[in-house]
Amino acid sequence: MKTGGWDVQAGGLEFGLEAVLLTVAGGLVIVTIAARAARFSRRPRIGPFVMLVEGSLQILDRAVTAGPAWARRRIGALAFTGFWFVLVSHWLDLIPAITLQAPISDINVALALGVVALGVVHATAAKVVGARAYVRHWFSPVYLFPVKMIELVLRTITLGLRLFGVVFAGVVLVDLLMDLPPPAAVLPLAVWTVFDMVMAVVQAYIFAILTATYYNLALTNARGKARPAGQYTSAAREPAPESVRETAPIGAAS
Amino acid sequence: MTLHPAFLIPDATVLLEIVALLVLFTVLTRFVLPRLRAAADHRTNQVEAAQEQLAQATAEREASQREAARLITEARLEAQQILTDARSLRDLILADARERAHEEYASILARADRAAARRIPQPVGARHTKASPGERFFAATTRGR
Repeated sequence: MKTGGWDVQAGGLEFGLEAVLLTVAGGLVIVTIAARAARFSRRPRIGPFVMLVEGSLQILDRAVTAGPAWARRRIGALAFTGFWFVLVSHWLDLIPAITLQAPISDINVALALGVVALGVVHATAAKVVGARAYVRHWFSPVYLFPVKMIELVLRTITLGLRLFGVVFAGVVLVDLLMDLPPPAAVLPLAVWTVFDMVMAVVQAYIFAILTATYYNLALTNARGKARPAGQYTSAAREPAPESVRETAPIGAAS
Repeated sequence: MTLHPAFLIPDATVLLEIVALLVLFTVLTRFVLPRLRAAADHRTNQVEAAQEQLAQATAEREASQREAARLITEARLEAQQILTDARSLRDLILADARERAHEEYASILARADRAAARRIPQPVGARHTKASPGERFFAATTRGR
């Protein structure tokens, strides 16, 4: 839902500052979490907090399989940012003492998240294969260009709208439960809160994995159109190890 | 719950959100995550080095166990050989001692026979009897009874 608070007009455009401030607050929480994890991770013995943050980064790094190391690290960082932003912004409305809206329940935040994720994904893929080759692959074949554009727009929208729908439904459900008499609302609210926390983790993981998958697909498709298979440059892809090349099926390398 | 009249239609806020998220992504990518990755890589290297040391120590331990087993086997064989040699030597010593004892027995008996022969007067025709000197001495002493 749109928060509808602190709306300001500038240049004929309307901006909802509450959602922006909540996003900034969520971002500060994520930066704090990551910075503290980075600080604590230098200690000889690390705790579960550092293991959680480091583990999420390593899992998402491993989900990115295509491209050179710098690109994999960038998309891993993007997936990490998306994962923790979705998680933190989803959990912000679970703090009972503060009546905060989850930023992700604002359609603007959800769409912005999708736009940033897909934008960074395609920018990175274009940098890996070269801008000209990347643009060319959209027109190969030409008659599929509209379909590819529709696919791009739909992926961007659905990536954000999926989160928006889930969180929005949760917020609506909580508001409906709050209309019940207090004794009858306690148990459903408690159950829903636990369910919502778990669902936030699942949604965050889905978002991050989809980001990594979209990057892998974008790079694989662009490479398939830009260069014949097996003629990747060393900057774009490290050569396969001997064992892999030897065990590849006949004709796979040509 | 108060819903915005157009809660499903994005407005210009999406532009600010994009900027805010890009700033968040940039801050994390440039300043925070490299430190986290460096620490994680450092720990990974430490773990790999420790695993390598463990593998090396395991190999050394197995080599030591093999060497110890070889030494024990050799020692057992050597002990078995020593035991066999000792038994052979024992048998030799025993055989030699028995032979010497027999010789000494025969020598003592011969000396005793000679001494008995000097003391007992020889009966007539006794030279041709086949009785030993002891028997002859017994026969001589009991003849008058």
